[in-house]
Formats: sequence, C-alpha cells, structure tokens
Amino acid sequence: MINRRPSSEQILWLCAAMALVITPHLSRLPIWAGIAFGLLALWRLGVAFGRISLPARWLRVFLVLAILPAVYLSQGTLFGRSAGLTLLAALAGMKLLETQSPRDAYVVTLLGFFLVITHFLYQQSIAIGIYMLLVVIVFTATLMTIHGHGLAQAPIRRLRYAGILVLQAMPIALLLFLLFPRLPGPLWGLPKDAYSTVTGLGETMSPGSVSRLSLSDAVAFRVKFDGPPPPAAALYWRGPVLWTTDGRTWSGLSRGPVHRLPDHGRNGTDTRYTVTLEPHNQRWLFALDLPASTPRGSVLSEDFQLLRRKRIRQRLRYRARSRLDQRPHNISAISAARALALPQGAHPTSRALAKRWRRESRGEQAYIQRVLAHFRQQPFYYTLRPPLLGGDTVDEFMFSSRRGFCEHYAAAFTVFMRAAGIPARIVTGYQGGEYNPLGQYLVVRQRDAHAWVELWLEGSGWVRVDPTAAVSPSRIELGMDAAIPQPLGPPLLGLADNATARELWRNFRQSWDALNNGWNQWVLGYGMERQRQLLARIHIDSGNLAEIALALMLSITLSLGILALWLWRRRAPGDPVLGLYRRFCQKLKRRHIECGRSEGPVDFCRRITRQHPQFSAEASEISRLYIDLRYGSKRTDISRLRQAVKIFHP
Amino acid sequence: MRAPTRLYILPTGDGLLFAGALLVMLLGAINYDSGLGYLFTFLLAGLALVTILHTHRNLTGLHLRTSDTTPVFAGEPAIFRLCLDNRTDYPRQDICARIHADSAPVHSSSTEPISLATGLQNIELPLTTQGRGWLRLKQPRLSSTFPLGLFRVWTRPPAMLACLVYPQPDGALPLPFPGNGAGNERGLESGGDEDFSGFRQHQPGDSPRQIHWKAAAREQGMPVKLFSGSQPQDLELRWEDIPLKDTERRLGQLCRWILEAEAQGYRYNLRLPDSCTETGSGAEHQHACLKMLALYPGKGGE
Repeated sequence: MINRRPSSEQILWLCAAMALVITPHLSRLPIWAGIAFGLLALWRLGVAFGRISLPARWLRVFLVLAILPAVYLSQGTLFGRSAGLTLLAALAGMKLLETQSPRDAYVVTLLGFFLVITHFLYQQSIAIGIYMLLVVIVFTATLMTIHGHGLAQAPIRRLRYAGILVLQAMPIALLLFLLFPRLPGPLWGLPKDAYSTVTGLGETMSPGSVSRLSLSDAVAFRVKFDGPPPPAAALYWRGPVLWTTDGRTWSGLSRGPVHRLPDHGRNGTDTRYTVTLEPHNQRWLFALDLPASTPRGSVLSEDFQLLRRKRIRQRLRYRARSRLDQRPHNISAISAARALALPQGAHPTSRALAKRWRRESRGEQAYIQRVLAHFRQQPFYYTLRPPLLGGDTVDEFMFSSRRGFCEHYAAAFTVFMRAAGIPARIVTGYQGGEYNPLGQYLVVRQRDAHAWVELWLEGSGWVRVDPTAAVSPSRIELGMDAAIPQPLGPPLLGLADNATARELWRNFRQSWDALNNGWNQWVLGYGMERQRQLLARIHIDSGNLAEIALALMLSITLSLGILALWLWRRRAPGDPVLGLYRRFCQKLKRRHIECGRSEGPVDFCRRITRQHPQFSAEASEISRLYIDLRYGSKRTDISRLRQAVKIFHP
Repeated sequence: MRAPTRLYILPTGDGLLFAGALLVMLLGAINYDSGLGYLFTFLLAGLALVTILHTHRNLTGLHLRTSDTTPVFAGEPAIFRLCLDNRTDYPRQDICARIHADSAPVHSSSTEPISLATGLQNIELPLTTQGRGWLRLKQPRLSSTFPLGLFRVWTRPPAMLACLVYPQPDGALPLPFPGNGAGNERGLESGGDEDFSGFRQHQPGDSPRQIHWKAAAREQGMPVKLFSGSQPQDLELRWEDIPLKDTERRLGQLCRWILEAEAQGYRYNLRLPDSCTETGSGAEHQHACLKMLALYPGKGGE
C-alpha cells in the first residue's frame, strides 16, 4: 500500500459513514459521548478541509486516557452492553480524529462495521435491518475510497459498485445464515443489562404497572389455533398469580410445590394452539385459562402458572392445550390463609365498608354482585392514564379518584373480597388479542395486558371474576381498541374518527404484523431447532458437522461459481452508435411511438415529423447524426449524437 | 505480448484483520443470539468472498506490451515503458505496476494507481541506474487490491525488459587531437590531403570531391575517399591514451570524449584493448561506441 495521508475525500466518506452508523445509537449513548463524537468528527473534517490543525499530541493522549474514566463515571461500569457501546463509540471517534494513514482509515471502517453489529443487540426490526444494509453499503464504498488511493470517482458510482458487491454477497450470506451450525447462546455470561429493554408483565403488580404497558404496541406473543379461535371474551391468557400485598404492591408466591396436573383425560372440547412467545426475560409461559397440558420443558405451579426452568430470552414456540370451562378447585389451608390476608391497618375505609356490605348481604354471591354493582353504578372510569395514587391506594381509588386501569379494579376488588372473608387472588396476564386474518393467527400485544381476580367459592372452586368488565364490558368483549379507541387510527392525520381510514389502517397494521411475524420466524427466531428441521428436510443430520460443512462448502462454491460465470461472461462489444439510437427509440416508446420492424431510420423520422411534429426538429437531428455516423462519412463526432439523445425528452 | 500466464491471490494484512473482526462479530452474534447479528456477519463474510472474484477479475485477461527502453548514462534514471492492454469491456482499476532489477536491489512502483477503460494505457516507470552495462529486469509485477483491499492479486507477465546503461561521463582530459597532447606521436602522420587512407560510406557533410565516383557509378554505394589529416580532423579515442589505472574512470573519460567529439562535429573512432570501431559520426555511431564502452568487460560490463 502506498502510504500517504488520507485525502479530504476519504475523510469525508469516513465521517459520513460513521455519522450514519452512530445516529441510531444516540438515544442509547450518554449525551457527552454523542456530543464528543460529533465534535471529534467535525474537528477531523476541519483538518481535512479547513486550516485547523490536529490537536497537540499531549491533548490527544489525554483524550484517549480520559475515555475510560468518563465511561466509568457515566455508566458505573466498564463492562456490559451500554458501557461497551459507549467505549466503542468514543474510541471510534478518537480514531477518526487520529486518522493519518490508510491503515488508520481502515481501522475506523472496521470499528464502523462493529458498530453496525452492536445495533442488533438492542433492536432487530425490519426497519433497522434495512437501514443497516444501507450503512454497510456506505462503509463498503468508504473502503473502496480508502483503497482507491484517492482515485477521483463520483460518489454515486462508488455507492453503486458497493451496492452491487453487497447484492452479490447476499446469496452467500443467506447460505451461511441457514447452514452455519447454530450454537445455543450465550457463550459467556451475558452482561446484566442485556435484557433491560424487554417489556412485559412483571413479577409484581402495583398501581400503574399494567397501564404502563397499555401504551406499548409491542407484541407479547402470537397464537395459532388448531381450530377456530375462541370468542374474545374467553381469551384470558393466564400469567403470574399474585397472592400477597403490602397494601400497594402485589406479588406472587415464592416458588411453591410443583403441581401435578390432575389428569382430566383427553377431551374433545380442549382448545389446542401453538404460541410463539416473545422473549420477556421471565420464567412463565402464557396459556389460555385453564391450561390442561404442560408444554415441553415447563411445569405447572400450584396456582396454575406454567413455568420454565430458565428465563425466556429467545423467542419460544410451544404447543399448549387448554380447557376453557375448567376451573382450578384445589385449595390448601395455607393457600386459604394467604388468600385472606391483608396487611395490618391498610385500607381502613374500604375494609369497614366491605364488612358493612357483607353483613347486609344474604350470601357470598349477593355480596359479590353488590361490589360489582358499585363499580358499575358509581362514576368509575376505565382510563389509560389513572391519576397517581399517593396515600392508601385502594381507599383513594375507591372513594376519591375513581379512575383506574384493570390493576386498580382488581386490587380493590380483591381487598373487598378478602375483607369480607372470601379467599381471593389476582391473576395477571393478557386478555383478548387481535386476529390477523392474513396470517390466521392471533396477535397479543403488551397493551392487552390485564389483571383479574379469582375467588374461592365453596363447591365451585376458583371462580374468575373480572371487575374491569363491570366498568367497561367492551374491554373484555371487543378488546382494548373498543374500550379505549384513542390510540388507534393513523396518528397525526386527524383521521382517527374516519371509519374507512381506520379500516385501512387496521389492514395495513395486519399486513405489517404478518410481515413481522415472518421476519421473526425466519430471521430472528431461526435457531438450532429451526435449523434442525430445515436440514432434516434436505436429508442432512444436524448432528453431523462434517456433513453440514460439506453442504456449506459445496453450496458456497456453487454460488461463487455462478457469480464468476456471470462476471466473466463475454459481452458483445456492441456498437455505441447503435446503442444510442436504440436509446432514442426507447425514449419514444415511452410516448407510445414505436419504430416498426421494417422501418428504417429515415422512414421513422418522416413518420415522426408527420404524426408528432413537436418532436420533429430533435428527431431529425438525431436521425441525421445517426445515419451519418453509421452509414455515412463517420466524420461526425459521436459525442454530438450522445448529447442529442441525452437531452431529448419526449 | 502475451496474456499473463498465472495469477496469484492471497489475503492482505487488512484482509486478515477483517477475518479477525468477523470472528469477533460472530462470537457476539452467538452470545446475544442475535439473528440479524448473524445475518450481517455472514453478509460481510460473503462480501469478502465476493471480492476475491472482483479482485481476480481486475487482472485477468490484461495484456502487457513492452517497448524498447532508451539507453541512459549511469546515474540517470532509466525510463521503462509498459503498456497495459485491456481488451474486455469492463474497466480495470487501481493496478500497481512494479519493476525490479534482476541483480541489483533496485525497484520501482507506479506512484499513482493505474486505471484503464477498454483500450491501452501507457505507464512509465523510472528506475535508478548505478553501473554501466545491461540493466535487466525481472518479469514486471502487476498487482491490485481492488475493490476493498482485502485480497491482493498479482501476476508476472513474461516480458523481457532491459536497458543499456552507458558509463557515466567522467574526467577532464581534452580531446586527443592528433599532434597535441596524448596522441602526438601519431601527429607525424598528418601529411595532408594526398595521403589516401581508405574508404568509408558517404555521410552528410562529406565533400563531393572526396566521393569515389567510379565506385558509385558501379552501384557499389557511395564510398568516400579518406585522407589522413583531412578536415574536419578525425579523432582516435584510444584506451591507452588515458593515463589512468582505473578501468571505470578510463571508460568514463572515453565516454566524455565521445560526447564532446560528437557535439563538436568530429568524426571519431574508438579503440579499446580488444576491439575498435570504424571512424564515423552521428547518433548511430555514437550509440555503437557508447555501447562498446557499456559492455566493456569488467565491473558491470558483460
């Protein structure tokens, strides 16, 4: 390599590419890192284009040395995803400033490729995939610029060549992606913050914890039913069951004894389905109330939660079976005591009212109906944005704010039941979902998160009561969209009330989700299991590494061979004059003026003059030049024809 | 002018670094189980593989022509002219040409990367010369790391390149005119126009009176009668006239004499211990004399 200082063009390419790759990271980087990166890049541009000089050597050394403490101070650690990213970005910025040789520029490009990959530790949407593909093309063009030794070439041609290279690399990437043996990650301990951005139901519930999710459109899981999907009102997806409270926060039992599923026998009325669960970094699975089978690798707890041994950190597919009419009917003495416990001194007003109502009611059923009627008749509102409750959450909600989301109703209702001596527990999970007719599956989103109550009634077992249904029946029957229509509809267009627009919007959303589902299944969720299935289909044993390696090598060699044939294909030298004339004909064809098969240039020109006099002058000139170049003296300059065809816009 | 026989391709240092980076990316993708991480790591791997073809294609079917190299004096740079001939319809980019002397550790590379569309492209590569004699080159090397610098393809087209290097003009002795200085014992011979001493072919500037017309009429060329002592004086540049022991300095002095004699329009001949030339003048004669000096046995000569 010829060692010389990078040209200003090379620096511009580098800075532009780095800016493109850093920009989506800005929200994740500490502010100082983003600003520092921008300043360093600007400084380098200033050196390349202006009269600024590089900072003194001692200053550069100081800046490099300052990176580590700065990262440590702002992130609290030097390890993990965020700190690593900050470190990488800061080092890339410093290296960019220090770029003095082609080798430096190359190292910056490599850091840029690393930064591309780091994005996928945070998000893996289709959009970021496409964006990063473009970024890779820009970096490839940058690499060409660096190795082109400042060979002047239009940026667009560089980008085009880089795009072609990336396009040609895609078949190989696909083969490697499908066939390269997948290993079960992680190879080493993941940093603690790896899953900090995962949303989903938590282990505990406090006012606001479910309504927080209600603003999220993120998919919780998707379900494909074997038969027709059950009615919306029956779609209670059972998640964590909460027993104990400190008056504000509800939490589940520490892992109790594992419950053996009572063998109900197989039943024709069972609902069978396949769930694709998004990773939520928790141990539980979701199943329709009440699960009648335990998916592979999971157990059933005493309160009918499906639990896995390890936290779910990859998209997980599992088969499940549920019995919608079945209720759990086991209760032990300990469970009964837990299901009645209320913290000492909490919710005095509510408890007093509960006791009074219980005395006035003839039986448990009458009391339950009375409480539900209270929710229904008094001005309670079901809202996504409940006011913050500062004092005694249940009392405040019941007697003053009266605005709440499902967790408020479930908590208050449970307190009223327990105060009246009826064992009660809260079940969290999701309710409903949106059926996607395109992909014929149900999408359950985070905003479908829900909380309801189970009461222990003598003789009936645990009975589900959904106090939210008393306030907002449409929430249960029609789903979140009907209960709170506000977030739907194309945003910003003022079309939220327009029925057609909403329908279109819904269709768009469903197609988009079907696309995302395919993306999830084949790009993001392609792991050991899917690879095993795929390999089995082409009769390769996924355990036989030699066989896989052979298949991989053969297919890559084959695709490179095809590419080589295409690259080395013998192209007819072609007559540039004829090519230009054909181009002229093509332009006319777009105006539906076609040159006949037996029509020579002279006749064609005459016909144009006759039928389309507006093109007469230009067509005559082009025809004259063409005839002269091809058949005549050939003394005419071809560039005149080129120019004439170029500026001809019929 | 033949197609390069064999192309070699190997990863560059940058290419190995790239492979290392890919490995780290792959580990990251495995560890975080990132589907897109896998996909992009493999895309970059595919990119590297694809560039092998593009790098290779950049040199395949490229023809190299050579042309004669103008002789130079030792110490002057010899200019070697190469001509790349691209007979395909795609342009070639970022090619580096490099020549290397066969025996001496001198080499020269093109300072600017060479790019050419379909057609011919001339390159001139200067190579510093040291000693007299033939400066023979190894087969020139064409290489390219286009497009991404991850792989280097190179070839040595079978072209014989050589340049004749004359001795460096040296010494300060005056031209040995007959009758003065070094050749004075021969000065006695200068008897006048009548002393016929032989024939030689006619050269521009010869007096018509000296042409041997009878021979010319018999169509035996146009011989010119030579007379010792005729004007302009003929010079004999003789090895033994130089009172120096060192062969190279003697050759340098002879070289200077030849140049001076030619510049001043004298006819001259060169006498070395084991060879001599005809008397004459003109560019061709000068070259013959200088070539004799360049190839005189001894250090550098053959």
